[in-house]
Amino acid sequence: MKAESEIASAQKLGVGLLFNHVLPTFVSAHSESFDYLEIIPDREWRDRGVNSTQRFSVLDKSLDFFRRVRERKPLVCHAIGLSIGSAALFDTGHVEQIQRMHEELCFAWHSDHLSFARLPQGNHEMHTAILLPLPYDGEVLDLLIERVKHVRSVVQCPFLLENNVYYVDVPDQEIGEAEFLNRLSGESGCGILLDLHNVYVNSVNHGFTPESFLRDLDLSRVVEVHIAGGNNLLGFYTDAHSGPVAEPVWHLLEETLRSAPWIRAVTFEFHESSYYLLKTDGIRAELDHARRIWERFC
Amino acid sequence: MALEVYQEIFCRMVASSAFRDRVLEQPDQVLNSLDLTERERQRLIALAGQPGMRVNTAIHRANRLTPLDQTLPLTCFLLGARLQPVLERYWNENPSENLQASAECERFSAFLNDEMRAGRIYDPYIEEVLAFERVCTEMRFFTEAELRRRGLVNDDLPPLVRIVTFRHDPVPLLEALADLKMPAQDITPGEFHLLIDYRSGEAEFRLVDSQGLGALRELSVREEE
Repeated sequence: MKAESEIASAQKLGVGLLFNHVLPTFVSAHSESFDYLEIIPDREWRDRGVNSTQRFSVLDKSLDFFRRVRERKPLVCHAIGLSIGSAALFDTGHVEQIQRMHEELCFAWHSDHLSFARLPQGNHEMHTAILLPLPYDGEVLDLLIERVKHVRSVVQCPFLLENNVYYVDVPDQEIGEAEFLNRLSGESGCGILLDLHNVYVNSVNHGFTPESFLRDLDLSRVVEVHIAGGNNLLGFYTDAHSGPVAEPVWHLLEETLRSAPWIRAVTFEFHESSYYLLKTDGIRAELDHARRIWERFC
Repeated sequence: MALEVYQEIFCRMVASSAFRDRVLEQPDQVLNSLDLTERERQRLIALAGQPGMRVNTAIHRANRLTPLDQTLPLTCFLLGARLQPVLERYWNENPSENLQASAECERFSAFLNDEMRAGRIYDPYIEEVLAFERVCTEMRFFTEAELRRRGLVNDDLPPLVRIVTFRHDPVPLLEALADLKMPAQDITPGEFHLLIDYRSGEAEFRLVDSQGLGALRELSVREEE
């Protein structure tokens, strides 16, 4: 399928929730509060490493749970483990495993991050435990375009890449972030997962207005939006997913939904450690807030 | 090739503030022999000096801690002020490979057991609390079939029922830890069998004495027959 029609044909889902391990009870008891569930597949399988013969085993318990959810709600896959920007490693095994998960759970689409986190170290690997920014240069763009094309040829549902959050400025980059995303999406055929909290965090820490970033971004490539909250650390505002959505993000959501023609979903993310700030009522309140905005524009 | 090296140095600067300081203070010594373009070299030096690198390092460490906090919270609490140096040793010896909670729980548990055997950690309660949390994690993450497959079952009990043997009364011990309080030093010693029943999907705990344990095992064998 051509990239444009792939984005346009993505299923319109509504307002969803990123699954984490404090949520099983909520998901079962409050399924009317969200339209779809987004899952992080890497957290649901055992990965014995790229050199292992029997590399992946999906936890049966997770699979059973998501199969039951899938009977009632669409599922979206949001991976954290591909590390698509790692120069020394392109993990085609990870891509194939996403396709196997798609065959099991029939994702509406799948996504990962525009960043790198993994480095081969002899027979082992190092994982930075943080998604690090790529330099926005032509060399990196070319590398990513080929890799995205590979992902799209293997996994039989649309593929999105998420704009990254970054706490350092890589100097002397050839291309601006929004233009890089536009070119990557346009030339490789992936859609954009626009994380509005990432945009807000970057704008606070690096001194630009989020609106200017959104003006430069080709919003016709955006399929999904993430919304979240953060907190302060060492003089920076971070994408900690701590509790409710940051207030300015609601405004950005309105602006985005007003202007982006192919948005199919808005996902609320929070980290399980901040569950105590939300609890059931808090999660429902965030989802309801997102739904009110969604219904005004979509 | 140069991009690979650039990324490796970037990662090392995130994982280690000492290495970052070396890049900043002695860039020629650290970077000159590496296959980097001049632009990448300059980028790395600029990154090393940015305050945002401290945030990257803090997040790197927090994210490495998350799977341990999810699976072994009581053990981490019990380690108290010892946790940080233990984590430093653990992270130095075990670079992060992935962030999967059950796998990281297994790896850190093995490390702690080695530390205890080597006498680097001494605590009257850690071994039993660690064993307890490890069993809870296994039962939380794995189905009955997986537990059987992995040999994580008590031979004579249903897979979702496990016994953890404590050398101190587990009731005051676990209650104190659950309230984020250090347990008293004089908890009654002895042999205590805590039964963890996960068959309903939620963990249920029950203390059983030796007689009860024997009866339970007989019952289980009869049920299987």
